[in-house]
Amino acid sequence: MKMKNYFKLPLCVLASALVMTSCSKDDSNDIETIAPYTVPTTYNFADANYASSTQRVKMALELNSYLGSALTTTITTEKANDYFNNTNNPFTTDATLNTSGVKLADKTADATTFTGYFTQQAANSTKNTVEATNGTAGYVIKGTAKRLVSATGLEYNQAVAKGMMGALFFKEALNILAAVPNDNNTTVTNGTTAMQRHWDEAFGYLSVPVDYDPERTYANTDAIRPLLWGGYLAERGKGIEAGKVIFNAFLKGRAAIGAKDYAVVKEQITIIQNKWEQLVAAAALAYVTIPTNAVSVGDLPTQFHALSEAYGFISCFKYRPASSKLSAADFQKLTATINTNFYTLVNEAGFTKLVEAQTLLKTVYGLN
Amino acid sequence: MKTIRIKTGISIAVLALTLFIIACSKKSATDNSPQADGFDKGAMLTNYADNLIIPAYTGLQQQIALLETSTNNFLTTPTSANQLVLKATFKTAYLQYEQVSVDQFGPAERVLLNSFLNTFPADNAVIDGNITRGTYDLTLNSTINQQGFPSLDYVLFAPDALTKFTGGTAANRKKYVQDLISRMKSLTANVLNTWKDTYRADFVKNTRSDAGSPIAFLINQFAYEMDQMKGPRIGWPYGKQSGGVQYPDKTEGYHVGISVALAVENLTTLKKMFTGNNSGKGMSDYLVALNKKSLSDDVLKQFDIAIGKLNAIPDPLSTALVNNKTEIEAAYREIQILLTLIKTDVASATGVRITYQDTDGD
Repeated sequence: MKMKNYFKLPLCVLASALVMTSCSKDDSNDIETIAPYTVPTTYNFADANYASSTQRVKMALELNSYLGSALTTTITTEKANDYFNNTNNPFTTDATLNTSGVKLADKTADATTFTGYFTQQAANSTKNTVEATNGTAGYVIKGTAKRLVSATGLEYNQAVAKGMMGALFFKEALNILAAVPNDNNTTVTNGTTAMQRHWDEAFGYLSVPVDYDPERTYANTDAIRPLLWGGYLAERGKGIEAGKVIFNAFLKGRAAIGAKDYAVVKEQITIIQNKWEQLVAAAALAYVTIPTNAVSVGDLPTQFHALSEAYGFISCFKYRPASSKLSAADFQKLTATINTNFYTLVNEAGFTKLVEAQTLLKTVYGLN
Repeated sequence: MKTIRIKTGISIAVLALTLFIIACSKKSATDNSPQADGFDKGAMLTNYADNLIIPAYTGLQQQIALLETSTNNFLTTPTSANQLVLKATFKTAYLQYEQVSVDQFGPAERVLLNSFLNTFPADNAVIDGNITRGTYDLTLNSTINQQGFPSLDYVLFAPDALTKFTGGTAANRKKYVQDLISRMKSLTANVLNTWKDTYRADFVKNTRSDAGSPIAFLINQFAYEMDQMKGPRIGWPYGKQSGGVQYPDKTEGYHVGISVALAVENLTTLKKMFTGNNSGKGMSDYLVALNKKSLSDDVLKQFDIAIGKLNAIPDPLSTALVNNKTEIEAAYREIQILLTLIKTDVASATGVRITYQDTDGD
């Protein structure tokens, strides 16, 4: 009996050692020992600064809100461009943005696509008193739900809002993260290294509070709440635990940078890339599915709104990481589907094209 | 000594392996259905499939077959006597339809059965246009309000319907009716066969309660049907959404005048579904197993109250809207209470998210 206990202890140690070694992948050849470090539960790292990311998020929200007002007022391309280029003091909700020296245009890929959308939305705003039909812009209405759509059913403000979530925020965050392993992590300026500053900047594009709680339901009246992607972590990412996974990876990665634990940093980058892209897919899937639900049939505002969001989210895939599971051919297929006239998509017997898109997204990204 | 050592070694190795698996296995999507010890959810779902849902579709298929016979008889000899016979068959079939209305998921969702069979009010003007032209494509989703029971209700039983079956467009009209019936037939057959061939097996083995699971479908549909009751079936025609302006002609089964009977059948079916037809294998029993007996009792009691109040409204609803406001108000109140119980309390007790109103603020 005694003997038994005697043997148990070292074997237990062996067991746990096994666990540790088998879990940590990719331990690089540097034998340098890493001092123990703790991963905090909030993003309260000393001197973390991602103001420019936060400012761009706020700018995008004001731009979106202006473009959305086209349903009830006439808007202009010039004014929309002012929001985009931060010219002529356009920002009113947060006037400090006007003097921030930051602009959306700096970091938005395919800028002319977006300025093109502004022009379209401005033109459609002059049609906000006529009912849309297939081939002419105007509003679609059902009960109290009313949407301003193009000749093909697209809400251009959604194309901008969700499209920019891809062409600016998703793209920037992932590009920055991909470059982080090569950043300088020794020279400290204003309390942080370049690697830390970049990590923080990427985190800022997720736009969640520093004490983000994935389980909590934030009200849209909460002063500090998740915005844009932060909001979608819960809105479309609950089923894949996107909030928990991505937020925790940002915390762990930032702590690991401080400890120079680069294997862990790389792991977190991969986790964020995969989960964030899967979140794009989950959102796209939700919005190509809603129009095909029986409850949405015959409800053009609901169907077109969902498809307009899908249009934006599918465009995000253009900026997917190099490791993406989505092939170029499948991306093209999704794009072709969502570029189809929305009247055709919702009227198609059996929703052939949309169901095909659903199946593709589910298969590639392991969604249900 | 040696034996002990080896044994211990093996058990430690197993432990290590277990730990390793626990530590490294990525969590697959979690099943957040609550714990109901000793309750067999698979048996509950089997009960739903075999004793409620599939029989309801089988019943509908039979009723539509009878409706077809009766319709053909009328179309051959369009007399008021035959129309009267047809009306009785039509009512029975429509009532039977209410028994499958709640099953709008899986195969039914795939073909939009509810949309194609029971979108009301029908678009009378477009229907007349279809008949005059003689060209239409009933498979298009934009034609949901040009077919199904509400459209038959208009074409067959509108006040001037009979004479139109002997007038100039009679041939087109007869063909339209036959096309509507054959579409109802094929859609229903499609759903029933898919249930039997493939869907039943998937349905009974998935005991989760996340979005897209059978339990989530059922709870969502209970809530959805209650929303329909509160809205299009009773509340909207009564003027609840229009500041008291009433829409008698937008009631369900307007021309045959059985809106209340349809509503009662709908709600009775809902109760039957909730209890699993008193089999001990229904959602009400699941709630009890979840330690929510008082909620289960409240819901059952509220079903009876609401059905009672609905029954107090005389058909046709189109005239009751004016003459029986007290009864309608009373029924509306009880429907609302039942709706809240199901949509909020039952949904939360079973860990189901209500997803059919999946629209966001932006």
